[in-house]
Amino acid sequence: MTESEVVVEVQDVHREFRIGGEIVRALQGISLKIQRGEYVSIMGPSGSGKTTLFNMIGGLDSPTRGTVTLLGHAMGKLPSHIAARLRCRKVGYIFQSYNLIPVLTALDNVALPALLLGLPQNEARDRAAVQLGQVGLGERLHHRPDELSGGQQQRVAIARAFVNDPSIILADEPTGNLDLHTGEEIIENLSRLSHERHVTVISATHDHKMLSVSDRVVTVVGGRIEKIVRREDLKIQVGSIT
Amino acid sequence: MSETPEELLAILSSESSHLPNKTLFQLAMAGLRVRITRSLVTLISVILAIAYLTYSGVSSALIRALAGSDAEAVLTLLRQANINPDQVRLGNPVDRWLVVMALLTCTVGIANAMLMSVTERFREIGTMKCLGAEDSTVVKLFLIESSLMGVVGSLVGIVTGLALTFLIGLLQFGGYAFSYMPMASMLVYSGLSFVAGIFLCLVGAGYPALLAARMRPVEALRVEE
Repeated sequence: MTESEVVVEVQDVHREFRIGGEIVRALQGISLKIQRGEYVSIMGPSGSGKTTLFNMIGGLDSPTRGTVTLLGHAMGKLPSHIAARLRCRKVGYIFQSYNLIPVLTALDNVALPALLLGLPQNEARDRAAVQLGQVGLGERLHHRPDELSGGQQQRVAIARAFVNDPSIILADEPTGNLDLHTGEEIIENLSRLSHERHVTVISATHDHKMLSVSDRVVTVVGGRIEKIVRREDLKIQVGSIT
Repeated sequence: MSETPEELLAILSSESSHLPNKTLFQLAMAGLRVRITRSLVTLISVILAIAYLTYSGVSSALIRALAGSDAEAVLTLLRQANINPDQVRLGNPVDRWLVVMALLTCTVGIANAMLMSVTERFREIGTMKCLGAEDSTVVKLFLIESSLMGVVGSLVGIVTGLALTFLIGLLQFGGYAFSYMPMASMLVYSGLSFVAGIFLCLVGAGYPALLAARMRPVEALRVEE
């Protein structure tokens, strides 16, 4: 396995939705390669196709035309149960609205993907406790989501995303519901864990704070990639703004 | 971390991602508890339907046993209760119809409760699917939830039905209700009622569970809270 191993490959992907009688072209020929360990932010205004692209990569949606390859597997072509198993082992999700299971404690929420993996409950919980410790929630294992703040819930979600040692983390507007300071905390946790474990992070975001930790920023406008900016170039840009 | 796509596919083909039954059970219990009022209403409909089923089965068995008696006192009591001993073997079509209606209503009630439970949990189901839960895990979750309702509802329903049978029998036939009670039939009807209770809960939950399982995770996540 080399540094430059491609984990996600998007090839000429089109996605059309039929809304009412009209055909909406959400994606119009997107191609993108993402390497292991990269931190990629997908930016773009609402309705730009950013979320659609993001869902494609995780195999939550399939392209009308083109292919999305995740770890060598064409996502649209895998049977749904195999795609589910692939997500379970290799993909961690972080959502804007946290999406923790409300009736489970923080510990059990984080343990859930490990249980899906087939680990015995004790082992799954031990793993979950370690993960929660790493995001600074070691004292809150037995709290339910409604007993935690937004930032804490998102940290639980981060712990949950990392618990199965995934290759890829997909984060959909992870700071969208959080204030500035809490958002920074989330970004810090996310980038630290991804660097430590050499995990690819792909994040759909509006948040400019995310840019400073990104290796590349992909801007999607009108269903096409408008530009891809590398971090080194990005700094100059930011420098010129401030 | 470093398997080839082929090795990965081999792993994915052989190792499923299911939640252990213990966790599913825990989630199902929690699901029922969170929606306690609706769960209770549904539970009561199961209890009533099963109680009625048990009652009509066991009480007709009792009447058949009484009608087969040689004792004049028993036959007099039957006549007093307006029951023609010659006709009891045929069973009462109105009773049967009522039993069927009760069971149908109950099934529809369970389907309704489970559908609402599915709709309310779109996001939760979507999340589980994103985390890698297979469709069958989602189906299992809802079936466990409704079978829990079926087990509790049926057991309480059977006890209620038997209590009613004895109570009404006691009022109509006095001590004969006990001495003539056909124990074997009572057990058979109770068993049948139990099976019927679980069955109608599973039937009621079948469609909602399939609906939940077939939902694509992206659709589930699109639902706004």
